[in-house]
Amino acid sequence: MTTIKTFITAAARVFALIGGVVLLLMVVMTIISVIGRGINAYGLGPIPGDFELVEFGSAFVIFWILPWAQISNAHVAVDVLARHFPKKFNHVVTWVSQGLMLIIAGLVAYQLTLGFSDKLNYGEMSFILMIPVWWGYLAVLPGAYLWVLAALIGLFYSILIKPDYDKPDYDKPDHDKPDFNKPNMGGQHDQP
Amino acid sequence: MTSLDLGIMAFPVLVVLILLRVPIMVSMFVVGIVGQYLVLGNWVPILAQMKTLSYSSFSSYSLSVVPLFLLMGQFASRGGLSTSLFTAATKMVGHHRGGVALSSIAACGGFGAICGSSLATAATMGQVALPELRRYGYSDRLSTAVLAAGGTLGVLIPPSVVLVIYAILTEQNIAKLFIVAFVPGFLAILGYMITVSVMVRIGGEKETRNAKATWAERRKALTDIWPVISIFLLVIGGIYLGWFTPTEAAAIGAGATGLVAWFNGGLNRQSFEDALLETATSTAMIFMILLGAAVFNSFLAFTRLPFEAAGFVTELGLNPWLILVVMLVVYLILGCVMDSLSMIILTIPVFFPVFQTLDFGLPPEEAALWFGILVLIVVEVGLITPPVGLNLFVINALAKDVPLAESFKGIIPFVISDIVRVILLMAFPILSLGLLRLLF
Repeated sequence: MTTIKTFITAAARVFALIGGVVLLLMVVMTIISVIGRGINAYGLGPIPGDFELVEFGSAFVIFWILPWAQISNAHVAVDVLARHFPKKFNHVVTWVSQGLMLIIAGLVAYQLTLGFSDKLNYGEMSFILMIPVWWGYLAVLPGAYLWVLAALIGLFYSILIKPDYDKPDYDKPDHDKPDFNKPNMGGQHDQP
Repeated sequence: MTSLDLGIMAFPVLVVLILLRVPIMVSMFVVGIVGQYLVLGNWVPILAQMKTLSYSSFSSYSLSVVPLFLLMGQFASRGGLSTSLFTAATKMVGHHRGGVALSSIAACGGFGAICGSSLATAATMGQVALPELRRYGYSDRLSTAVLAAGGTLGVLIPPSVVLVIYAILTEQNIAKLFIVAFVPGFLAILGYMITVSVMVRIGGEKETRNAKATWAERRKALTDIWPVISIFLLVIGGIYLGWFTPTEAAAIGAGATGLVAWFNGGLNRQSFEDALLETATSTAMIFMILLGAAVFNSFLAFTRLPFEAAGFVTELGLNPWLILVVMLVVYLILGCVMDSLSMIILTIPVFFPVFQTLDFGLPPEEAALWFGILVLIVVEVGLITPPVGLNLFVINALAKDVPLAESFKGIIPFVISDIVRVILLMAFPILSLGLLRLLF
């Protein structure tokens, strides 16, 4: 099981990096397009359909980074009350949440697949570039399904391994502080 | 039970789930989808909607500005700009009493001009300024509090991810919202500086003072921060002048900041990967909440709750100021346990229609922009209030020997300064809107 987790974590990391690179490509494409528009007078122009490319790129980036966020358990949650609950209760809430997360991920991925086959059958095209919309759907499916796998691993580990729920008591001077060195939105965010 | 009842019932259920530490995205998604089933009595339309909902939520042109601004902030954090900003700030204000603390505020403000996130600002400036503050003999309490408060400038000064989300949720013009945020952001710097001055005078701080810098030194220090100034002017000026859309501006900002970081040697293979991965994590967290919110909000739309709530508040005929104050206080309370974006995504679909029915003698668009700034400030206060004040955690993690309780005590004067600012901005909307009226 640990091997599977290591493998999925590694895959999620690669997916997230690919998402990051696509984000950088969006940056480069947009800058070129803006410059092109700026020197329109000299016979050059903006990249046609740059708007649509950003939309395709954006969906791609988000879906491909979801598994990494999932495996890092980067979800915003409120733990102010949970600190005072019994450990067993918190453990139940955690794995129920992970279970719901898996259902959500599975639902999103499966319905997205149906959405993909709809778009394929109807042959819907984007307005300007006339790119088939199903290309976009197809491109994000790997991200969606790796998200499901990451959520599955999350559920498995949340049931099997009882994490230490001893949250620091913020009133006492001596305690281990949460490691918030890495800037993020907060909540339960532990790097794998 | 009518669908409106279901809509009203949904909120306590949602709050209970969130307080049980179910992730906010999961809570909203589950309540939204179960609620839709109870209203419609049928899974088919819900599932049909799910075929395109996730893709269409994520392929939004206006939302693509979020990962781009987050990437820009990541590059800025690694670009070595924080040190030169801090040096420049010290040369300008360092000779006053409490000079290093004042410089920290000013440097946070400068960093906020190229970074749209509070936590990134607090973490980045904290690494540079915290050792200096302690070296100059400031108390642990003031040193950590000043940086946690300074971190909120990351969002209060445009560009700001929170404002972008507000603009998208309420269909306001991002460029105008950034313009409106400008003077309040400046007032925030001023307010924090006044707070520091008061604290060093009556708080018994024993600090050593800097010598006053010569004008030549100042000019040199200011030239060293030209990348920050030019990126800010390019991004914000470009949006304002209509040269480019906010998404294009964010892309240009991210590209320029990335180049600066690379030239400064701040980007090797490792830190580059880290920048991408951290952008990925923060982006995914926001978009997952947005997906949950999309499901929850389509349920709310079925129940007509936002519409009815607005009608209900109108019928009550209460003083609009009272309602506004109540809404802002709700944000202050929520802010004690929630982060700013979740609060805005959760509440704006109901609060905004209610706000729109209130008459403050302002044109609707100006009122919406003004409300955005007020909400922005009160949700940012949430980042520095106990028990969950993420900015304080960030700074405290850099100073592991300082008890968190000390930082929480130190932050109180800054929270007071925030509240005074909100009251000022409420009483004089012209403070926020003046620049907009001047420019547009």
